[in-house]
Amino acid sequence: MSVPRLSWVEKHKPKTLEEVVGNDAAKKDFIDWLEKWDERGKAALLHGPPGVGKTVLVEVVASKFNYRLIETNASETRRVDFLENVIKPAALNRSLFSSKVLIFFDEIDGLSAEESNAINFLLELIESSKVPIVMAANDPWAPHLYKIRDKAYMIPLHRIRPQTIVKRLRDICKAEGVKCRQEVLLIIAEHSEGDMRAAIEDLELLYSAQEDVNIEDAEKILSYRNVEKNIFEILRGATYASTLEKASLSLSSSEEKPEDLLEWVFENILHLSPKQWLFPALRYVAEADMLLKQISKNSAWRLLPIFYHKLSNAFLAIPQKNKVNFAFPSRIKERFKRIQHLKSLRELESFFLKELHVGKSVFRREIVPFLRFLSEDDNFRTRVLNRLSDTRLRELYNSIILRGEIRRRHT
Amino acid sequence: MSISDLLWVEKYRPKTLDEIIDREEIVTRLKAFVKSGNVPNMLFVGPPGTGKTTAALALVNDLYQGSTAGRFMELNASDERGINTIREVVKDFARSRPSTEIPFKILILDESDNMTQDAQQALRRIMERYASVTRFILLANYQWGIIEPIQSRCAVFRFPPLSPTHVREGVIRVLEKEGVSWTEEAIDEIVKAARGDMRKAINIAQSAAGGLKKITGESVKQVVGVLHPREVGEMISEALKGDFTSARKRLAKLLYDDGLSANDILREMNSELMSIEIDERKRLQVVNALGEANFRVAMGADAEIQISTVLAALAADVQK
Repeated sequence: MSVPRLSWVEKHKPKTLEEVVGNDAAKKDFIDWLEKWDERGKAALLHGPPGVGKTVLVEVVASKFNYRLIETNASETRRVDFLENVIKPAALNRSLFSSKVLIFFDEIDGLSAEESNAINFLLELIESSKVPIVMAANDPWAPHLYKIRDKAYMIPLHRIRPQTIVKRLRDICKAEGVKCRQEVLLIIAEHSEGDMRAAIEDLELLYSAQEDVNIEDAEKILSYRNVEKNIFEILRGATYASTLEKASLSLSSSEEKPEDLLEWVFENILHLSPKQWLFPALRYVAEADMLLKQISKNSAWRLLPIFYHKLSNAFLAIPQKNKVNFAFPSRIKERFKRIQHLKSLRELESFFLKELHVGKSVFRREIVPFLRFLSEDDNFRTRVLNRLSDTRLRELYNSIILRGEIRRRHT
Repeated sequence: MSISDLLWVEKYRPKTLDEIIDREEIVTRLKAFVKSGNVPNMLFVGPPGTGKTTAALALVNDLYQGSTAGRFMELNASDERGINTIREVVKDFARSRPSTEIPFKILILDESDNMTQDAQQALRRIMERYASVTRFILLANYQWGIIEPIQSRCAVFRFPPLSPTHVREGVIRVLEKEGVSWTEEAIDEIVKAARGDMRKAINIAQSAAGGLKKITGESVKQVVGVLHPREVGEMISEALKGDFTSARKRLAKLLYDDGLSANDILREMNSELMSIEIDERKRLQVVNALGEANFRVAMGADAEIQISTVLAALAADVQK
């Protein structure tokens, strides 16, 4: 019977914090967060491209600081019975006698928008948990994860630099007793595009076939790893592109829907541009915005390249750009809340418009501030509430006019 | 009991044409319509708080001798759902013919200059189609916001801002009925802040009184700033100072918290722009940007992106 052989990735998985290479800022950030964690603290969300060490970081830190790690991946997180019977008890019963517990939900972006049970479970757990919760995701910007994003302390991890990968590969070669050429390691590192796991897999692939690998063999064997470019790289591409063509190429390779891409560009142009170039840059964004509305209204999708050109021009209109970390569009984050708020406003207004014979814009501009002012008076407020027979109306009056103050006062 | 009797503006809104103390010329013509029992389609144009709605409601009241139920309807034209709602409502409303000597119903459309051109074209066809059973009273702040074919189908009545004397009279009448005492200074402050807008004047008076039975110049001054913050003006000066971030925050508040429409904000920006002191070339640059924003918003573009661009134009140096 042959002993099952561990892959190099498994075999050389880091066991100490020092062996986890790259992303020093994230390492420190995560440890700080864990050390300062108390019951009021949020959960943490480690996010970044595949193979940069999110899972391994959690595992190593847990063992170094003596946490018992309860780990679930996406398929387990989907199973309600597992969540209820294993995770929940662990999160809620902190015992003085057992060791510290850390709960880890890996690959949470693997949950789809339809799996709202699991997402709601996570949200509730974050609220009520008595132990730290950490999550990991490649793409934390999926719309259905927005509530989780709001609740979590975000820790970004980045692709690993080629030199760092080469160094790690060399250590593995030494441990495996493989003689390797520096240039080959470099090729592997470059092909991996910052994915350490992929690099180690490639290394094993190359050296399990033959003892000495030359550059040509390496190039031939390693098919180019087509890492899906994420939005941050797309924006980086557009930001540093020197020509319209290059910027357009970068933007149009995005897998974001055009309207989402517009949001990303709008948000980040605002940060990227020093004041003096903001106007010309935004003007292109504004043109792109209108063009896109017209394109989708008329289904004129053949005009989409012009949309990308206009967005590209926005970047090119800024000769010197601020150094910034690209940010997730705040408008997408706020969208849901804003829509809800406007809905409530409209609901309240449709009642008042009939009562007060005013139009919508007068109501919003004049009546709302006026009612707010008068409602500071207890007597007036009581009289209004007495006249609002409908519970929903009272609720709306409370949230829009009083901005929830009544509830605050009474609790 | 309804909310309306808590607010002086509603409580003391004139119910009949006779109760309207000013606007003699308009009232005379409206009374003539009542007497003849026939009413044309009408367009009431004027700034807020000048009595358009009051005149329309009083006309309806006099025309149907107080029994208005089911005979008139008030609609807000700027409602998001737009022309389809109006079409449905008008159809339903007009379908049942009233069985009085007066063979038509009245539909009051508020803020009708906020309707899109397309919606107005559709409205025009509705007006023609249901002409025999429904008369329209369109209320608007700006006549040029109403398309030509509609204007030509309406008798146009103009409601200019009320004179200081009328505002003063109106406010004092309400204060007397409420048993609230006042100082001359208080009335002066109210008249000054209201600028011919009666609703504003009475709202300020009620806010200044609070629960008390007395208003003073001081209490009036306190509420004016709170009730009518010049937020669009503030936003413009922040942008001009180069504080783009604050200007954008204010824009977000106006759009998403207060729920103001892009058109309202752009319109106010336009009138603010004319009165501020800036380099004329810069004014031109901003006015251009404003025009583009107006156009694009009308074409369905995003309010925040478009207005932000205008703010950037304000913050920027003049483009060579």
